[in-house]
Amino acid sequence: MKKTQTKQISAGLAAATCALLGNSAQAAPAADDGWKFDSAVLYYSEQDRVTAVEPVIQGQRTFKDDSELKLKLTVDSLTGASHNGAITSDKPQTFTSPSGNETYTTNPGEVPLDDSFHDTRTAANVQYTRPINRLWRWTAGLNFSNEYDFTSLGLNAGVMRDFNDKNSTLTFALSHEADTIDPVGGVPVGLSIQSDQQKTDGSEDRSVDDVLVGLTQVINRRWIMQLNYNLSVTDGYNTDPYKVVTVVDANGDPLEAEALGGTNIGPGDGQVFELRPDSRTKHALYWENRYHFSRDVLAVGYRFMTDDWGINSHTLDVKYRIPFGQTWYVQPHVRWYQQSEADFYRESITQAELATTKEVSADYRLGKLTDMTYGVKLAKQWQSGQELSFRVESFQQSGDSDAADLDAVIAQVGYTFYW
Amino acid sequence: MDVTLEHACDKESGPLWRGRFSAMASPCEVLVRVDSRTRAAQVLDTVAAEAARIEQHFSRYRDDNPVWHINNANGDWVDVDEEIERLLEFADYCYVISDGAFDITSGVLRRAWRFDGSDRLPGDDQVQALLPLIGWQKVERQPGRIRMPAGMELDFGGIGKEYAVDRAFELAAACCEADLLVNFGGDLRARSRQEPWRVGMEGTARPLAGTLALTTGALATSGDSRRFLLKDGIRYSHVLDPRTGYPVSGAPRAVTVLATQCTQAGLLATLALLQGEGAQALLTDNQVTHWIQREGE
Repeated sequence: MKKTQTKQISAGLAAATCALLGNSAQAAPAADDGWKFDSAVLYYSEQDRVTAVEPVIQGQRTFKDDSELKLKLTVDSLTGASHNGAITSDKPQTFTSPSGNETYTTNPGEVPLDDSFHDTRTAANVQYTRPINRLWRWTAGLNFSNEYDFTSLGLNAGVMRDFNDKNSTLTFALSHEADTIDPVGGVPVGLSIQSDQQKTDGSEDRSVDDVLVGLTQVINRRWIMQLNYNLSVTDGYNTDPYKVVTVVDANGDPLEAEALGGTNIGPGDGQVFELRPDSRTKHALYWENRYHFSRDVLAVGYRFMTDDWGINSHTLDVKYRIPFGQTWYVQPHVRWYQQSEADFYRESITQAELATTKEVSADYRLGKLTDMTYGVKLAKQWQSGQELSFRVESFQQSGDSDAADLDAVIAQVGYTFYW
Repeated sequence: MDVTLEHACDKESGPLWRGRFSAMASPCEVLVRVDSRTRAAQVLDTVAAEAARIEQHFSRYRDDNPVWHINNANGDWVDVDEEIERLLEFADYCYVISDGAFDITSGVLRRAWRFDGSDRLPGDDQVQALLPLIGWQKVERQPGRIRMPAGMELDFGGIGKEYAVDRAFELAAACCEADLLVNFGGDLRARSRQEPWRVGMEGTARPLAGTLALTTGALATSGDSRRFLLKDGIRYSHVLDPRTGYPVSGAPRAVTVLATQCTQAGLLATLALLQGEGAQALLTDNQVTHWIQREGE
């Protein structure tokens, strides 16, 4: 052995041993004292419709007593046009703008879009978790979110208990959220003709109560599993104040408002404001598996949701992380989502149906949908725990209506650092 | 496999359990501090199962494992699994840094050399006849497969036991948070958050006598003071240099090294041994904690 080489043996051998034993090269960041920040800017753009830019920053700190504080700030900026609920017709249709001050017309064959859609949402979350003793922890948090027509304030609290040498963790959490909806131009009277602009002043309220029971289980050193059950009860104003439903004749063409006894503002103005049930109960099961092969990591998540609006949905999410060149990884991502339609979903309604119906919505998000997302993330990690990542995804949605068919592009830049 | 578990003692830090079994021709021991016997038994089972698996997988004495297939391929390509590939990669690294002194193809020298304490040295022709069958550089590797000339043999004996200690330790460590010590025939790895483990250092001598307090780390010993040949007053150590086919001169009887992982400790000890007179210098240069036993000590 050459003398010059002997010095290097220890360090090289340590690295070779780690490679042999299959240890990942990722050094655990110093858990003590410092803040960890995850920052990201997300860009989401639907073809011909909404574009969103969303910067997020989350700070996380673990203290000496093992308590943990998380702070998160999100700003969401939306511009573009969104579907107003009406059918895509080969006849022109006329609508009133949300403020009620203007009208706009959609040409034959076009998906009716309301292009006054722009908004900035600001959301802040604080979550604190603290050990009670060796086995128990409690957590409590506060959420606040604000848009020009919407304010939400939420509280949550929970307890966690470890079992089996911390290989199992049971979580029980409750949360309550109070929302205030203050639509531009007032709250429309549901099922009334849009051109009549029957609206009430003031705002509407909604409460959301959640119960979460979760189990995290370490199966073995490679496999970790999580199973969550979530019950969510919403009570209050669930309607979208800006969406309408087209009233159609026997041929499926839009009726005129005057034929329904309403105000004439133009051709195809037989549109009524939608109305949804004032309560909704959702049950969701979420099952996630994370499997660490000797090099790669596979994450498979499945979610099933069912609610008393008649919607059942399935989500399957698969991510596969492939490290390369010591400090990089690439992560392909596929997500599949499918939902059935709500009982009160109609693409349009007839005058006879309007007379007897209690609730109706033509919002494609309550209709039958199938989504596919394909994406890939590329990230570079540094010894100090910093990570820079780029993510690009393609989103394709299809449903029963033309409005439901849309393509979007998602791009995200993320940066994790310690302070 | 005969596996036993006993309740060793109770201390402030909780009950201590000792499990014993035999694997890789060595007495094996697991010490674990946990409250429940069930938990201790789980840890012991994990360790014993991994030891048995590795022994089955890498033993030269079986004809139903990958090593046998590699050694009996008669010059053909043989597919190897991912674990063997990692071991080959590691062996390759050791071969390179030792300038060929560490060579997993050198096991065939055992056909000539039998270190039974006698004076029966092999004839030089016997040794020279084996040299063409030695040499890691003659082994061809491609992703997922290996080929070597007929007659050559791979022997993972030089790293297998230490690797087994690390693997078994890491599996056991991942399934509980308890203080743990895994010891296969004197090569061991331990962790403790409270009271250090007290490890007896029998037979390895200076500069250590008695016990070592070990919280987290691994110890491995290379060398065997009972294996030698003695002729005309010259003691031939069992440490063979694969490049010459003859024992390394001036090799210590045994070298013990303290490191993070057992594999690392074992390799440093073996590389030091192969240095002969230079054993001490290698270990000092690398600033590793070590113990060297030489003749007469």
